[in-house]
Amino acid sequence: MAERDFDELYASNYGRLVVQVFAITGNLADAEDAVQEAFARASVRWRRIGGYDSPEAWVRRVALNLAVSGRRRARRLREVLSRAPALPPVPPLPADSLGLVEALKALPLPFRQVLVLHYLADLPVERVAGELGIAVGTAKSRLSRAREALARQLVDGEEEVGSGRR
Amino acid sequence: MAGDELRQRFETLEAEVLPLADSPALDTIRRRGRRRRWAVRAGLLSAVLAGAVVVRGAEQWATRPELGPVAPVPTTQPAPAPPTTATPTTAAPAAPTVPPTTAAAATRVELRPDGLGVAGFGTAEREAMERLERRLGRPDERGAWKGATPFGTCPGPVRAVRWGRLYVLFTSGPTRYAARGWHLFTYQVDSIQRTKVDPASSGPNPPDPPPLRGGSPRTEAGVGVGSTLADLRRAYGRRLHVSYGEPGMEYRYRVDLGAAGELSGVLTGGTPGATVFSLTAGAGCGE
Repeated sequence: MAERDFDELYASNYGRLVVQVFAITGNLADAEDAVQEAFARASVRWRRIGGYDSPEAWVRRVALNLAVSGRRRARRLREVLSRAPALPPVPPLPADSLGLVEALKALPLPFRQVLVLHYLADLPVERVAGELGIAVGTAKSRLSRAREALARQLVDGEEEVGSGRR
Repeated sequence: MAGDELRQRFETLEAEVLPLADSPALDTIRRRGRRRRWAVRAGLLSAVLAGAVVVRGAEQWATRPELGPVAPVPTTQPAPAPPTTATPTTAAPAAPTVPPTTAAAATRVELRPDGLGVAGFGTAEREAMERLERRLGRPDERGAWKGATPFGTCPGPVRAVRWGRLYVLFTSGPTRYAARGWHLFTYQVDSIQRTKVDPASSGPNPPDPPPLRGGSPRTEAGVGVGSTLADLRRAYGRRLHVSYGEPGMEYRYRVDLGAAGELSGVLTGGTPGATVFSLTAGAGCGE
């Protein structure tokens, strides 16, 4: 694959991948850092990764791994130690989106993963299973339970907001 | 909540977060990738170097001089004979006038059928020691015996000096190399510390002598302790003879090098992967 393909992958997927990772981690700065690092790694391995069926999936997987690994925690620790003003983890968003981010944060990581891959990355259940390395049946049942759990969180969150308003 | 409604909320989230995502220039991403690649390579190189330092340190530690049956530094005069036979003489450390030996230093001589290159069989002890110490540094161990020795029954009184895995033996008895005077008559590269074997012990279950570790000197063909039987065959072909039997019911090998002499020793087995346990040349000592 040519360099041009990498440029196109970056231009067309960077923002979307940041959103996906942000939805899983709940921290925009971490999401940006993880996705940039994943693209940086892909850039030096492009001869190989460019030949994959879905280079985007590789970048997403690396970014998600980085985002949930201790690397981001280490960076946050450095920020605390250096007393540098840290960016707010969640950017200013309308109430509905903020509620969705908070509800996702309350879910276990496997639930967040299937929801984000299915609803944000627009992957069918079979590909969600493939990206997570689990059986299709497992992906289906996990997605179903994740959806229920997210719905409960969203209702709870809205009730809290509602009672707070009263 | 219906799937469609959920999907709509995710799409809204994406639309709202997308403009907030800070998108660096591609060059920045590529530079970051290159920096990381160099950092990884530098890290790997550092790890390899650190590993090499640790291994070398461990090797030096493992081959540090051990206390053994040590005799005074040989002189041109034979050491006074002990009143009894088969008993190591008293210990005295060698003068530290030469650099300490290491496993690597022991590889600075060549195992030849007629000696050690810098000192052939028959060379006077004093001259041989001067040459060997110049090449190998201070020995790890010295010992002296009469009668039975850890190396078997030799042509006469024996003084043994060890550098790493290399034992160098001198005798004042008559050999085919010299009729009299202390001279180099054999060497032995070994896997165990022979001098820890009590030559007077005849019990049924003598304790195992401690192993010798570190580098082994090699023959001109590159064979030494640890080489495989396949290596021996490759190096010497039809000049190699392997046998099984006495003494000790073990696999032994012999390399016939014609007029130059022969190399021989013990193998750990008879398969191609079996390794050289010991290697010797010269007049040798019987069992």
